[in-house]
Amino acid sequence: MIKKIGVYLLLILAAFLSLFPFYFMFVSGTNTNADILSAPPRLIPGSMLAQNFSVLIEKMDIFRVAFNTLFMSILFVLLAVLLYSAAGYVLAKFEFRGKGLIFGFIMVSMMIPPQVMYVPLFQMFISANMTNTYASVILPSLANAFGIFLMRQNMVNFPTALIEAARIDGYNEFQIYLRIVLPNIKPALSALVIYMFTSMWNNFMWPLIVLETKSMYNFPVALAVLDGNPTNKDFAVILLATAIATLPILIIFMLFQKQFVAGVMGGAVKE
Amino acid sequence: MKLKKHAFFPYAMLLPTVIIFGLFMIYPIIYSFYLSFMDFSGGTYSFVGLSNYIELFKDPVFYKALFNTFFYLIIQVPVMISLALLLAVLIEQKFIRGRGFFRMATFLPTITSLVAYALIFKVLFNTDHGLINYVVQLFGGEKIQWIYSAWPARASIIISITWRWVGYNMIILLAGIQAIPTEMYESASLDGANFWQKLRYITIPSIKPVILFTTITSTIGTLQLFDEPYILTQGGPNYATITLGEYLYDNGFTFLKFGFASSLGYVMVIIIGILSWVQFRMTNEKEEK
Amino acid sequence: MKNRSKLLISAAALSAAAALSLSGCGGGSAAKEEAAGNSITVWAWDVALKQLQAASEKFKETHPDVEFTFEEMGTDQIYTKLATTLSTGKGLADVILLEGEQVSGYASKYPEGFSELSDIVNADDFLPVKMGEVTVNGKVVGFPWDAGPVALFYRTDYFEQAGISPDDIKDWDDFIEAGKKIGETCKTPSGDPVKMFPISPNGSGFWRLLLTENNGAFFDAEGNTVVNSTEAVEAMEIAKKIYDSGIALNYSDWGEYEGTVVNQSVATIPEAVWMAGTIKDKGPDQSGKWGVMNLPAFPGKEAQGSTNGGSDIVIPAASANVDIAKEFVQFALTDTQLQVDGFVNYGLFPSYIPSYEDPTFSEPDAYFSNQNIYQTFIKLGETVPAINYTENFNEALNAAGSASAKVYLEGADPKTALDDLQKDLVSKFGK
Repeated sequence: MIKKIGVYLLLILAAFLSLFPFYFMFVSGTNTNADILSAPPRLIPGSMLAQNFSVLIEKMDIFRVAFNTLFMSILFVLLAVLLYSAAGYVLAKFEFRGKGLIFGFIMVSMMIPPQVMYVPLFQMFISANMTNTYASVILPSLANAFGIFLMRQNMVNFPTALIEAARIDGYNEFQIYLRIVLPNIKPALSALVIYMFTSMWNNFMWPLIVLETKSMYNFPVALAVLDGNPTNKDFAVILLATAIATLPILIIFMLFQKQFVAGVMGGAVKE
Repeated sequence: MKLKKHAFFPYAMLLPTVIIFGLFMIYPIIYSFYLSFMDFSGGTYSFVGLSNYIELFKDPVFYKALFNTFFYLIIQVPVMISLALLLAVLIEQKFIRGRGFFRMATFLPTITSLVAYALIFKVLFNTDHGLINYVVQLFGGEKIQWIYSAWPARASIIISITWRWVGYNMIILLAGIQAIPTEMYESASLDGANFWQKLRYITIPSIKPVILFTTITSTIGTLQLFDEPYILTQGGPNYATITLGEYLYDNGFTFLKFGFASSLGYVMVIIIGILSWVQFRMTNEKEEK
Repeated sequence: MKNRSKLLISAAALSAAAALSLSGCGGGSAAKEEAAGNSITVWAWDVALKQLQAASEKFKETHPDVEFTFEEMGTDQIYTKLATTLSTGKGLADVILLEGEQVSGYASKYPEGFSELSDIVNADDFLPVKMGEVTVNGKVVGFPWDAGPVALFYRTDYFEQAGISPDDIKDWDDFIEAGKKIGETCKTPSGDPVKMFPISPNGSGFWRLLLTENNGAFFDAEGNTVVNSTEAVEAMEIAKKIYDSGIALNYSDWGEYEGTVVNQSVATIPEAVWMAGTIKDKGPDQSGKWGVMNLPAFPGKEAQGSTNGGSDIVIPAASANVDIAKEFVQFALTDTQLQVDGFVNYGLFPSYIPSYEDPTFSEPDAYFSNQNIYQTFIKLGETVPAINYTENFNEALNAAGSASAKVYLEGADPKTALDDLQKDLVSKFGK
């Protein structure tokens, strides 16, 4: 019993530490800039929400920005799940010529600091006359080794016996991938979805470089514009915008974390 | 154990990925490698051989950045991965109610925007009115100058990174733990195994590839660390918190020295490559036993 | 064959996905509409953007066929954009706002990047310090806009409480004495002792302020590094003396800086004229409690001005609309009424000297106890000499921040720290 209480206390402490800054963010959206800059800042909700919001929508086309961000994130997640689960599966479970080379290259690409690639990438999109498009944000972001590596690592321990059995049952390779492998790695797939969605939702540097007009901005770029003024920052409005930008991720997370149901693999999976 | 060879299937599955990487990785990598031998001034690039690399190895700031980066790495990655694993395992304990809540709460810091993050941590680490110093004083300690002295500034960076990324790694580890058949734990319980024994003999071995994943990605993330020193301390005081990632950004995007920045980037690739290889090796050897 | 069909499926999935993503392209990019030669895209931030919008309305009265597109961008975005795009020349706006000290870096790295504006900028009409910013290797590559002459903002009520008259503070030694008195007698609303002024000990800001006041700079006219000149060492010694006296309040970013006004925690702020707007904005309840006086002098020297901030406008040479953009910028930044409006509405203090004739700049300001504060700034602004920023400014600035931190926080000797800085920078820049 004492142990259980200890575990709860630990988890509650972790949750509190993690949530406090969010509380601060949401509360600050209802306060004035001066409240936030006070030392210590005001930590109880104020009455400025409506006014901060009206300043915000005057400065930022929040619906357009939300649409851009959501559209790019969803499309990116769909493509990423298709590409990475397929790539991760064969990299984990098949032997073929060039595998070492391909996997090695993917791993090395993860080590290159992204900052050194922005200039050449930008030049590519300029010469293809494709800057300021959704594709210019999504396509280079798909060269994401983390996702492939995550999929591969989660499939390495996938029971080979299960695949062999399916083969004997007359499934073709593609069917095995779709009907046997994918359903059994749902927790890893939802981790992939959460990770990919978050990374596109928070994608900042590259969209900043490749997007040119306000109508194309995603949340991070639009927030940076809001915050980009060297002086006269209105933190209340910035934090309100940040809070709004955070809500959709919360929803996505709630949807997909349900997939983490214990024992998805059930008794079917044993070597 | 691997499956037998299949002529086309693996290639078909990999084709789109290979195309994407070919287009958006190979060209930029080659181009920036080429840039690392060039100097940019007066609007044109000129070939300077190895001089960017030579300048780099003579640069005292590079060594400070290297030291800090490794310091963060050695302290922060093991602490964070252990913490993430512990949280993941605790949340999965059978008696826990409100799992969804705990999972989400600990994951949330990952998705904070940098603006909010910077503001909040300034508030927390403020010398005179910060919450952290308040707690320190509560326990009889002296006010700590978090941002303005070298070691506390480094500590504040480590605390911040850990805060932001523990939940992220926890979720990935959770996905691995979820895939462990419950029967394994049940039979271990019948044999009288306690919490730590189950952790050591069932959980950790079963998710070793996933632990390796989080370790390697966290290592890479720390070696490329940019956000925290950039927004919390601007690399100061006197370069006490600067990282390789921030130094690279400064050189490329603030000083417009793309050649020098590229050479720093390639030195980082080599360091990261060696470390990842070592990590792979270490776990592979264990698997062979 | 089975496997082939799978390959086709994957390829089809990818191309379908790619097509989908392409079809999502947004409206036409402003930067790409290059045909007409009479459309102007503007990148600027905050109030400067609003002021340029106002100017565009007035400009259209005489140029009805010119089309304007305004994109609000922060400073960091503009610099990131310039860093990636100047080399191709594509994807840039026609009119771009830059912070004054940044013009030189981009213009020297990309000598063909910006249009030359000598034909529309009459050097005698602008504050010398602003002409210095936009003159790079003998060419005028930017149009000077708002200036940042520095004076000392001070809290009249705190001064009174401590029994100090502004006239008592002639030099920085007097400043330290006054600071100690104020620390002993005055309390902030939350009960802490009032500090004399805010400082960022991780940065070089305060040292640079003193350096400019003492007629020093990072670089001489030929671009040689001179960070350990007599002037520079003097400035750092004073800075250290002030910091060590314990009268300064540490801050680390803009939010904390503004916080010193909100929390009424400092008695003075040595800052540029634009700070007047921030003080009014963040301390509406402090009306009548602020005044402006000259910067304290170096002991034994005349009182002088310094400079901080302000912006200029550049026109990329690759723009298809250079001619009309030049015409617009000249109009927007020399039309006297627009200068006055920009100042009154947005606190943009013009560097166009003829506009100072306007009575607005001689009027007393109610917030500042009806003091005529702007004449102080104009007089100080005219004393600040041109500064040669060179292409290496940002790198020197970064290293200078570290040298300052060493002096303030680690107790390093000013002369030694600056000698080290000089050696370090010379080895990097070769001069």
